Amino acid sequence: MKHEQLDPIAHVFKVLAKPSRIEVLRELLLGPRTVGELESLCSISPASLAQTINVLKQDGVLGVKSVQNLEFVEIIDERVRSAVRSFFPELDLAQGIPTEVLNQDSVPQRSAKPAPSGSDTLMRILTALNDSDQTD
Amino acid sequence: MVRKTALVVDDFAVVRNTIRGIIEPKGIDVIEAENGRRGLELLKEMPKLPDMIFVDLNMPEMDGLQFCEHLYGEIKVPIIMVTTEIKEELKSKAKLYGVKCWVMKPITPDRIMKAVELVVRG
Repeated sequence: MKHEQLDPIAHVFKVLAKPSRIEVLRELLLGPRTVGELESLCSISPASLAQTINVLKQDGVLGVKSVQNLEFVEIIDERVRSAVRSFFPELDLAQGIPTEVLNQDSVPQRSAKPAPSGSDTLMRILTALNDSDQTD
Repeated sequence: MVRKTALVVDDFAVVRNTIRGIIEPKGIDVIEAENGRRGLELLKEMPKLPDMIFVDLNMPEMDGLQFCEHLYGEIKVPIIMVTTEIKEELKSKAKLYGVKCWVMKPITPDRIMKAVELVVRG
C-alpha cells in the first residue's frame, strides 16, 4: 500500500495527538455546541479552548458557524468523528435520548409519527411560509 | 451548570435586553428575534436547537401562539410565554401548542429564573 493512501489515517492520529483536542471532540460527539457550552464542559482554559478550536478548524476537522453573537462548533470530518467515537462507546447510548419531554400529559397528540430533525422541519415550515406569502 | 442557550422572541428590544440581562449572568446565552417569523428563521440557522425559547404573545407579523403552533410536534424545546394576558382560553391554547410556562409582565428576575428552573428541571 502506498503511503499517500495512508495519509488520511495519519491525519486522524495527528488530530488526536493532544488530550485537549480529544476532550473537545468528545463533547462534540453528540452534536454541535456553542463555544460557551464547550467552555463549561471542558477542563481547559477559555484561551486554550479557543486555540484548540482554531487549530481543529484549520485542519478541516471542525466547522464554526456564527449566529448573532454566538459561535456554534461541530465536527465536520467524519473520519475523526468515527475515531473519537470508538474511544467513547458509552456516548452512543446517549444519542437516542430525547431533548426534552414536555408536560403535555392531558393534551392529545396530533400525530404518532416521530418528530423529524429540527433543521429539516424548519426548512419545510419556512418554505411553506414563503409559498403562502407568494399566494397572499 | 453547563452553559445553555435561549432564543428570545419579542418585538420590543427593551424586553429582549431585560431577559438577556437576567439570564446571561446565570449561564444562558441569548439569541434574539423581533417576531415569530424571524424566530423560525433563526431556529433554522442555528446548528443546534436552543435549550429554551422565551416568546412574547402579542407581536406583529407572527404572534407568539402562531409561532408555537408552527413548532408544535416538530421540535421539543421548552417554550416560556411572556405576556400581559391573563385569559384562560389563551393559556389553554398555549398549552395545546406545547408552552411549558406562562410568565406575566412586568418581567422580574424572580419570575424569569423561576421559569428557567422549571424548564431546566424538566
